[in-house]
Amino acid sequence: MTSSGHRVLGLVLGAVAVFMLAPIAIVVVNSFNSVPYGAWPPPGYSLRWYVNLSQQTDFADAAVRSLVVGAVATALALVAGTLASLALIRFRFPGKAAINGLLLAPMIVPRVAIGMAAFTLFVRVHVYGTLWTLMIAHTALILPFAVTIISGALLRVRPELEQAAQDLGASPARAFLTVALPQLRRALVAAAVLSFVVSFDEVDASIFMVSQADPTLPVAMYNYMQKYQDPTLAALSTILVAATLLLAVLLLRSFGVSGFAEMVERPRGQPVIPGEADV
Amino acid sequence: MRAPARRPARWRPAGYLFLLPALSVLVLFFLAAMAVLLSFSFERFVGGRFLPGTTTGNFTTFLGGHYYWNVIATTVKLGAVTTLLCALIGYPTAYALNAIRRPLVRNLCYFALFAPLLTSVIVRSYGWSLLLGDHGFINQVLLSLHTVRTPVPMLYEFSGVVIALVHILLPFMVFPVVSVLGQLDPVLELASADLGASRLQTFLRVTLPLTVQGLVVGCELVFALSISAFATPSLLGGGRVQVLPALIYNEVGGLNWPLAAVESYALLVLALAVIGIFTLLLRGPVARSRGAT
Repeated sequence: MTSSGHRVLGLVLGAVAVFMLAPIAIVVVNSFNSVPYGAWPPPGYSLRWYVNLSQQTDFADAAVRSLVVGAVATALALVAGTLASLALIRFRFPGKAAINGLLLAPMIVPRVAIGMAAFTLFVRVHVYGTLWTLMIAHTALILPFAVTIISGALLRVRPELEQAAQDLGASPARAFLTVALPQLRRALVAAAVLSFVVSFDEVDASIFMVSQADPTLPVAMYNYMQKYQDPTLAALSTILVAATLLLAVLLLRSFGVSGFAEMVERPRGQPVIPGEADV
Repeated sequence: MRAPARRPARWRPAGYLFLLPALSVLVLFFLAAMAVLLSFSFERFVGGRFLPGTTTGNFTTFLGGHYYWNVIATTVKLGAVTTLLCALIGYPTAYALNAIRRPLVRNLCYFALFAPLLTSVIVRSYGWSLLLGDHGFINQVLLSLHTVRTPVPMLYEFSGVVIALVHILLPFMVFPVVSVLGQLDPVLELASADLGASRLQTFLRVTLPLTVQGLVVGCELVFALSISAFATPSLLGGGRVQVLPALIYNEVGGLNWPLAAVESYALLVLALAVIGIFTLLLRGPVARSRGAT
């Protein structure tokens, strides 16, 4: 390609990169604002919003809630998703297509509809507002991600090695755990990270399932933003962005860019990306 | 030799046993919830109380009201505009990403595009509210450059919601296009050039038809996700951009649960219609365009 072509492509990429990073950068800058309104440029800089944030125990409670729900839902989805992937890839049984469809359905039904449905169910059976219901709901929401990633990886694990282990006297379960599972390690890590991120950031469905008094972190942030505009939210967001950055760096270091792309790629080339269906 | 790896084992009931944990979550929670939601749409529910008997009145209210059709129209318009912009920005971006050879630049670009996905949509919507407001960054820059005399209204407007949604959904457009571009054999473009085609001709008659599949998949994802978007339109629309997902949430607060149930199913039907249309497109014209070259 000619150098002018390269220049145009470079300009496109540069503009898109600025566009993608601008809203995050401005949040970080605004967290050090000395005044409570979001005027540009900030008249001065201070740490007062971080101090204010540290005094808001509601956000800390919500963060703990989100971490617990994310961890439990991720663990449940990984176990259920690995077993389901084994069934789908290694066994043949009637009704497989329908079951496969059901496993992916929570990714297709809009989150708001799932949230509203969960609300009606929980109200009807009188369990609305409990934390365990949210864990179950998040497990269902992230199962499609876990199943797609793990079953995609399982397709590439050849059963011959496990067969060899069995020929040498291992039970089928032991052969799977010691031979196949280590080969699935990357997929499991990818599925865990993706599942946790989706659960931790989930708003659209969760907002229907949590009570105003006990929200998850993103729901608490949504409610706060509806009521106030001061940069306390910017301080909290900056901390979350820093944590995310750390996660991204760790992921890139252990997977590399191609591995990162590979882990979010479905077998047919369709992407599974964190935050899908949660906007 | 053993059996080929890809062939599923013979039928064994153990398959169902392995599916038990996943299926119990999906049946006892997901399907049960969707069923209760359906039953709610037939309830008679006035002022926060259920009345005995069932009714189809919630459906007639929804389908008969101009207000609701306007909301549906806004929702579809939001989806269409967001998808169009994502396609117009996303395809060249993917093309450029695919053309980069220097690993460092490539990694940085991937990072800029995909790292924002890991941050919460609330954080990103908040960032856009700071950028788009009357006293926000963009308007202050425009005013100081004397490009405009008064701030351009973007926050709490349709345009602001579109900008933020394009930001959030762009990666979903870029990713499928990059992945088909990566599979494209560069020899085809070279051959086209050798046979005397201009770069534009090569792009229009070779590259685009062979990668349009990725573009359509991207459009499907972006359209489906943008009509289902809740947090961004309600935070950045400030109640002035009324879309179906935000309406459902407001209905719950207003204690009109059966109507919210009807609206939830309307949203589901809308999402399925979008997926259906794009699937037909992928099987028909798109498959033909790949075959024709």
